Amino acid sequence: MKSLHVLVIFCLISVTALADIQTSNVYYTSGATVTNDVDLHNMDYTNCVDIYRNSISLSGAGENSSGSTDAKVSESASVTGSGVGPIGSNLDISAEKIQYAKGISAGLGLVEDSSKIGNVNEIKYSYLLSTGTEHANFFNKYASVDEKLISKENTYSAIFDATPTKLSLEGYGNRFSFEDKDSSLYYTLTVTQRDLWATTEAQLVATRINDVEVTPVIYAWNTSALSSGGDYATSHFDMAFIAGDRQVDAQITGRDSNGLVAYVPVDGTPWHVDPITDGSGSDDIQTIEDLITLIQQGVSNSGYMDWTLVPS
Amino acid sequence: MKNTKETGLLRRMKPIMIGLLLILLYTSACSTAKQGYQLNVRVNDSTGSSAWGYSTVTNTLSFKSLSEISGTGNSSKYVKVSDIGGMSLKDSGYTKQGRLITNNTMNVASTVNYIHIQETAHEDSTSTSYSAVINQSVPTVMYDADELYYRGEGMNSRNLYINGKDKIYTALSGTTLTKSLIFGSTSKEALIFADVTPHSVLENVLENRTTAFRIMSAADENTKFRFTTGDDVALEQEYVGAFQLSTKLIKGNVYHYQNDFGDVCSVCGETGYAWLPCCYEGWNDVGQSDQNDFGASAKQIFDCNTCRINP
Repeated sequence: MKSLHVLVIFCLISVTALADIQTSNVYYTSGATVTNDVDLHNMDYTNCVDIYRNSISLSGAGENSSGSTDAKVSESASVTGSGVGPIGSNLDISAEKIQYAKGISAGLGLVEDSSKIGNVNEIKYSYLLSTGTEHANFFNKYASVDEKLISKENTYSAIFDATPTKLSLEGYGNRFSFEDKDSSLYYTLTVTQRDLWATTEAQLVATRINDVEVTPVIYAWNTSALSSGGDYATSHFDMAFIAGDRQVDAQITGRDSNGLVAYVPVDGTPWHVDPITDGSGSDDIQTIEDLITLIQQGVSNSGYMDWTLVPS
Repeated sequence: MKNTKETGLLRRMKPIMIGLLLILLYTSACSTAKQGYQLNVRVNDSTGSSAWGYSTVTNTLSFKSLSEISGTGNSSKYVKVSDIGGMSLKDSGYTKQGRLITNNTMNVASTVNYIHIQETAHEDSTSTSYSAVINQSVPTVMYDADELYYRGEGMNSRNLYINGKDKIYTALSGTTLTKSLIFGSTSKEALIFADVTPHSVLENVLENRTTAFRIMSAADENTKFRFTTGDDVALEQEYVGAFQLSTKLIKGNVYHYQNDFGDVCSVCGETGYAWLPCCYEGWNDVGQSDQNDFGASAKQIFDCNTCRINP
């Protein structure tokens, strides 16, 4: 057991040593405290903070530095204080391409959709990655949302927002590319509302199995999560794809705290779609817009999964 | 044996403890009224590692304390103000049986006008760097005046004042002891620049911060006085025996930051954008009524017309 502890500590130190620039900042204003820890590797980064007697406003952004393909960013943020919550978030991205931005507010400010001054406590992140891994987690005192993605040769962008009474996530990913590369995605979304939870897992693997000159494989997915106070939480995931020049294996599965298990396709058998026959589809499809049109016309396999959590 | 000692001590203390002074002012570091920031950064690469940190923390408050004590007996005193805009004070001591007369005036005022922080970081295969620019206005004033007279079996009195990197420490002890002490400090705007690479940390702090101190004392056993400001200035004196000490010092950092607009400083008339004012603006921000409460001696310390350092 003792050696296990030593190993864990060693691993923690090793992980910490990977980051090349680490900041650990705390900001104080009347009634609220903001913490923000940032680890960066091969990133360009800016962060601006305004502190006044009753408010804190933070905005920052980062992207992989020019020429780098192994950028990493790890961020954690929290807002605590009297009547605040707390609210918090973690975001870890390691990818060939990273872009992200953040905004944190604490203390007094103009309340949204109102001209009144009130407590404005909020953590918001937007991010984009291509080919890499991502883990986002954010929470308030009622709920939490946890998202994980392993992306290969596709792009995903999302926005999450945490306030003391609301959590939201909107994400969109796709592969619309003529590059001749295998690709895949593994995505997990877990929403917890008080003592209830629901998890959605999706995967898609596009593999070349023969040498055909046809429309490239294309796919897109949308994801969202919402928690409103202590009342309810929802999550949504949908996915659509055209196999094109590659074999596609895909599935959406889900389970919740009540023991319910669900599949898309509903029979529990994953999609297994062979490539389009050699020669077909290549004449009319010349641009990414053409590919999008195919999906809009419904020339695709698609499915979705929704969860709703209502604590009693 | 232990019980015997305690019983003896209590027996001695209780009947003769005519005057007991205990003042405790402690500003909690966990107060929800805390304002400011703490920055910590570490910059690594395969060849080196550097760390840098900076903080400014205060509480928006205005605190005044006036006390007059006189009597015969034993007494103890403990006064502490912690990290208000980079200023702290501690006043402690005790007396054995004797005659004590003391007057104390303490005033602390602080607020946050604004703090703007900008951080940038960059890393690629050839370079790793972090930089920060902090522009802040945290007007803070601390004033402490202490008059003391003691005759008796023995007294120990210590004062510690901190203002940014300035530290003043005094310690007096004796059976005959008098002390007249004034400490004043102000700060307002500051500009902080930091550039951190794996092999270097460059920090440049431009702040308008003033420390003023005067002590006149007479003690017949020990007299200590020490003033340090970062690593730049150190002044230390220690006397054993019956000595009188009269020392006055004032130290100020005053910066102009030139801009391209040729603005004229409203205080001194010099050309240059004086958003880091050339004078002790912290005192002016206290307000006329509060200035009057400080008394005329405070004006002599802070008034730049009479105590100008960087003309």
